[in-house]
Amino acid sequence: MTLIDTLKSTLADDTSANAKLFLDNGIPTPKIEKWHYTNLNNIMRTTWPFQKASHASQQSCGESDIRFFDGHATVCSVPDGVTILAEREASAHPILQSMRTQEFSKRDESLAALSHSQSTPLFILVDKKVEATLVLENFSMLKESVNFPHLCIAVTEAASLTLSSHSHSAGEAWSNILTQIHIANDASLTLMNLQNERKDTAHTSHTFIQAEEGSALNIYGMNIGGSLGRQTIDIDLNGKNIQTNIAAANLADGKQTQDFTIHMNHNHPSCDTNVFSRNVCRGRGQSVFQGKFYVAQQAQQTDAEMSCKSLLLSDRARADSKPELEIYADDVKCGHGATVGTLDSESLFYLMARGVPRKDAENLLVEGFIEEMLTRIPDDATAKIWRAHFAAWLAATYEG
Amino acid sequence: MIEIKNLHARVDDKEILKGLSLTIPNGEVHAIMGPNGAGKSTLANVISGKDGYEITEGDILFHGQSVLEMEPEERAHLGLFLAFQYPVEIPGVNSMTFLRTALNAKRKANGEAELDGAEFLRIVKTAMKNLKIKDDFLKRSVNVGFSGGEKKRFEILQMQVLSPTFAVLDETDSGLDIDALKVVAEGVNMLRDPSRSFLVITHYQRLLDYIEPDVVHILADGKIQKTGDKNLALELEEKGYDAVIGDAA
Ligand SMILES: Nc1ncnc2c1ncn2[C@@H]1O[C@H](COP(=O)(O)OP(=O)(O)OP(=O)(O)O)[C@@H](O)[C@H]1O
Ligand SMILES: [Mg+2]
Repeated sequence: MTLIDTLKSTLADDTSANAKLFLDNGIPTPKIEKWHYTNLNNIMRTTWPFQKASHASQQSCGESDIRFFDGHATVCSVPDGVTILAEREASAHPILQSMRTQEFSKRDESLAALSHSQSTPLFILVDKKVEATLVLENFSMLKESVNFPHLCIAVTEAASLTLSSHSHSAGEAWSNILTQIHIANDASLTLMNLQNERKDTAHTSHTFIQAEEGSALNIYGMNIGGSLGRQTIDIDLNGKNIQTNIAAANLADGKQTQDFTIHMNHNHPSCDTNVFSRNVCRGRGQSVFQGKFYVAQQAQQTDAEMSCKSLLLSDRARADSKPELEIYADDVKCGHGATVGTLDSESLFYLMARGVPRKDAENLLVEGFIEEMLTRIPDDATAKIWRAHFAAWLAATYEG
Repeated sequence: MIEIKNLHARVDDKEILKGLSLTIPNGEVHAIMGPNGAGKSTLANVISGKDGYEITEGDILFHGQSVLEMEPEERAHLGLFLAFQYPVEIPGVNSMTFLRTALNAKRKANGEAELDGAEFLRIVKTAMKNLKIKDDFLKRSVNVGFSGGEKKRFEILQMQVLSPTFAVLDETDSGLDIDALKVVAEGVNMLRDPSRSFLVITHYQRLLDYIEPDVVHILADGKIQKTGDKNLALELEEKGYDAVIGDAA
């Protein structure tokens, strides 16, 4: 019996809409547009028994404020202005409650629906401008397990939150993460997600953001580890004057697939959006970047820019990019550019002519390519950690 | 000392250097002038070891040793340097990191210890002062957003830091204003010494007022057509290529 069969039989009695969506659609196949380039075959073929880790007892958080162990949260400390709500308190909070009861309906959201039906969310309320970075860790300890970390975050009017999260694993696992976020008027959110799972772990994350008038979103993501890393970000801009900056990097080696899929709905006028994607593929690695801007008819003066560059370091590496614009307003500035290439020979010669050996020169150029993404991260401590993870990736050569 | 002997070089089956010979003894500055497309940058690239050229005949000897089979970085470690006609922009690579990587690679290849941060900084600061380059300049990515003149100054700064024994300057004067030209020329003159030689490629006699050459060559149609002293440049300025070298122009 495959893991999916087991999952389905476990969910068979669950009558919720979310369980039903998963039961009806299962794991998305490449026939579903949003999953066209990223094949989940490995997850589908897995024959692990379905183990949902039992509730881990309180654990230490290490360097982090909050640590999910196999999908279960341990909260060690939170900065002033951040409140963790119990389920009962959250149900009295209309926004958090609506996240709790959200019903997914699209076929391409079956994994988010699965997570929603299986998890107990951690509710986070932010009602101040929080200076300190909230540091979160997703850690899969148990081998051959599926885990469902689930966050519901509400940032109230004019409040702000910086959240840095890091996912890693100790054994072959599947991390299927759901994050639901609401950003109220004039509030701001900085989100940084580093995926560096073990090479045999699959990571699929689904982030849904509802942003209101005058808010600011800064989102950074990097896929390094895992056999598969897929970060989906869906954003609804529900008011005017929302500023969004997204920068994402995929590093794919061996037989890895690394994927960022970002959909943004511009529903109101005068929102500024910038999406920046960098991909480096070597070995037989595959990167996927899908970016879509939907601009509704009333969303005049939208200024939305998307750029994606991919670097192929081997003949068998592959980069798929699909930038998409769907625009119904007439007074907008929207653009996208996507390039795929190898290392620039003029730049290599320049470095070598200065005495830098070929291999070092190549690495320096790859570093520069990713540094352009890292340099956008406003949180220096996080940028430094990511830089170190990337340096380790660059120094390692492996064919997995 | 660098000796170029009967050099023939092709790109994509097109012969660009057609039997070029040139010897530059230690301590001398030679200038090369020549019309657009004559093969000046090709010569500079071939000396530095750039890919894409097929050498069908001839040799390049540096202190008596052929460099044709060497990688560009090996030539740099021996003391060759090329100031590029078009310096390359390298996004995301910090200029300071770049300089340090280059200098330490050279030191390592020559069996010297890597420089510590303070020593390195002292060398760079001195060169920056010499070339009147502002402090925050090297925090930027290599050549990214530099003006044309700033790129050329940065080339000469790299030359000062790497301290080569033979340098080719490919149109380092192009795009420089008069003050910058003096600064750059001074930056070159500081390095002139009996153990070092230079090949200065230029279109303008004016540069040679500031960097006085021992010998001036005219390169046209892939060969040295005429050799003289600095007065050859003046003659060229006055009469043009046609009159000085005839049909080869
Ligand atoms: N990679 C190449 N492929 C094809 N032709 C080339 C290539 N590189 C150089 N050439 C040709 O070789 C000739 C010499 O070029 P080169 O750049 O050496 O000229 P130059 O003397 O430096 O000219 P300028 O004064 O304009 O800088 C030109 O006709 C040029 O078009
Ligand atoms: Mg030239």
